[in-house]
Amino acid sequence: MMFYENLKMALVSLANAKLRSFLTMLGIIIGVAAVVSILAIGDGVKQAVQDQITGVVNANAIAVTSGKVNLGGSGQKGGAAGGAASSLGASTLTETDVNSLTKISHVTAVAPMSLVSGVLANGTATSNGALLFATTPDFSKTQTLKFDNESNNRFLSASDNGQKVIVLGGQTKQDLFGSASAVGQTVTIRGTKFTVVGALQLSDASAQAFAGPNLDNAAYIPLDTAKAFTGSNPQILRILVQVDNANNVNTAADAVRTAMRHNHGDPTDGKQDDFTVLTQKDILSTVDSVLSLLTTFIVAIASISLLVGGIGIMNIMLVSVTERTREIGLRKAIGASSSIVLVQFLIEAVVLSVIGGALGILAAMGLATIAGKLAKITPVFTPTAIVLAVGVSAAVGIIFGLAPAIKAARKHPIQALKAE
Amino acid sequence: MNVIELRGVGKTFTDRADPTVALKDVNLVIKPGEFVSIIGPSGSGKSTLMNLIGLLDSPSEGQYLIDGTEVAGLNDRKLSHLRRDKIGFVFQSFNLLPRLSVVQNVELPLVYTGVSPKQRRTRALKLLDLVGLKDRAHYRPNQISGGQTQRVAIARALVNHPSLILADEPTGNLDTKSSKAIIDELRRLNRETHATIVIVTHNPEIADQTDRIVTVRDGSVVSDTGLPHVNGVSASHTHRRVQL
Repeated sequence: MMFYENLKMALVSLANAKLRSFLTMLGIIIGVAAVVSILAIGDGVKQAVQDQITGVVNANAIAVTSGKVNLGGSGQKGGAAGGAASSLGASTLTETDVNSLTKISHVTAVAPMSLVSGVLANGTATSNGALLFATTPDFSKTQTLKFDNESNNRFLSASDNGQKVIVLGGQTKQDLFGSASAVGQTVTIRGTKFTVVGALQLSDASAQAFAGPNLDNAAYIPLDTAKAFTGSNPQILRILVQVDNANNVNTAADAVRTAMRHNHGDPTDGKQDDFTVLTQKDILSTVDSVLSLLTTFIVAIASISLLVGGIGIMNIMLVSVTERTREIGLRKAIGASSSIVLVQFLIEAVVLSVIGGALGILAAMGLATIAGKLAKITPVFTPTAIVLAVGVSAAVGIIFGLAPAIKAARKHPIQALKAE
Repeated sequence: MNVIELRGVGKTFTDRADPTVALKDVNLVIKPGEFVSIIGPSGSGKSTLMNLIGLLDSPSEGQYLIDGTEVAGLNDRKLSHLRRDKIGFVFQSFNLLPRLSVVQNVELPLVYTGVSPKQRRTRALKLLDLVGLKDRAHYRPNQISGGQTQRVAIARALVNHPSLILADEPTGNLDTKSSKAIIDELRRLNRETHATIVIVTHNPEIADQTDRIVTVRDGSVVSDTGLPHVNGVSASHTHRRVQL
């Protein structure tokens, strides 16, 4: 009852000083707008990155890389520097590992990826910076490959082993052949001719940054061919493992880790893992934790403006209490107790800050939408963020409204009535 | 039961640099339906007396009973409830909240009583009608005259059916004509509604229009014209009716 009456009184008071009320709210509006829009943009970026990752790294895939990569949230430990060092040094992955992993249940395909040096050329056209991978036919099962619109277009097959055949990534194909047909043509690598058996479409390149090397600017030759071609065992950088079902990924990943430890030694024996098992989830959680940390940091900075906004409310409420001393005296004389006066001014402060918060959310929606358009992301307004913003503004109102409200409640009715 | 009963009431302000005795040994009884003025020069203690009667301050010594309720030792909440339920105030100035309409001002004590908005409005309009200002119900206080403001304040004072209407210099800011109208209004309400009315004033002309004059000087009651009582009925009514 009294709450509703106070709410009405507060709205009347605020409506009677619209400009002042608005200016008082401005701090809260700016603070809430900053926090909410940053959260929305942060979540939007997170969503966009997740979409790109899930678009490129299929959920059924497990990647084993050489060296220890420290992933936040994956529960594994190890120095990032150590990981980098082993990535730069000799790879620890072997063909024995590949063979071991094929035996794991739920695993449908295992593809090693090793890097062969060499520049691809078609006459005078060369593909600069194209990565030449040696792999097995299973690679096509670990990736969603989109083939160019040509006849007889295919990935490497078992019969290609030892043959000088090549599959071109989207970018490589364009660099070497432009829009012309590539299948059946030859490319020269270090003076050796390879027959093109497949050409891929360009994929969404931006996502690749998270998924590993750029697979557009790449070409693939059979692993056995690479051995003969380079005269040595190529180093395996990464082993891609395909699992039959996304639900089995965790089980399979554990089995992969066990199998790898069987080959490489177990950390419980005092040996540190020299490989890393990555799933889509690991990659997502890594990206998530990095982005969340960044968002939290910026939100913490933006929250300072909420503090400033709260102080602004306290300031104006103190002025208002002084200005309305006689009103307080009159209200007390006609029957308002000190606690009713306290609640009245407290509610006024809370109404001020909550309306400010609501306007801040609206401003945030505008700001984030504009920023999203400019940065080509869709801001995500989670209900949690909005409830939180309203809650925080209400809390700011209570915290910073308390001192002025106590000041009002403590006024002596006689002195208050006589005040000028 | 007496509306007001002061027994040996004294008030000393000890929070000042040199403690001041504002009231000493005041004995005063006011019966229901009386129309009384408390008069005294500035500094006589009449304002202190009014604050004590109005429960805006508490006595340092003695006993004060309002409607038979001893007020000593009551906390802020209980005192505010007594003010709300037993007393209707009319002040010299700043009677109305400028942001509220006339009728909302009249309703205000009922807000603190917890009466429903609908009943509040009905009651407030009825009292505005009683003081002849029903057509000004939705005006703002700054749109009506000083005399009308005081009549609105009287309507507000009556809205909670108080035992006592306490008017502190109610005509202090008004011209002679409006002053007379306000005193006539109070006189009429006293007669028609049997409301107990106490006017605090420094103006003998105002005091002369009341039935009983209590004079305060140097913190003591120095004279009280008192009232003859006929068969327990306040003489003010019979007295006035005869005059009219």
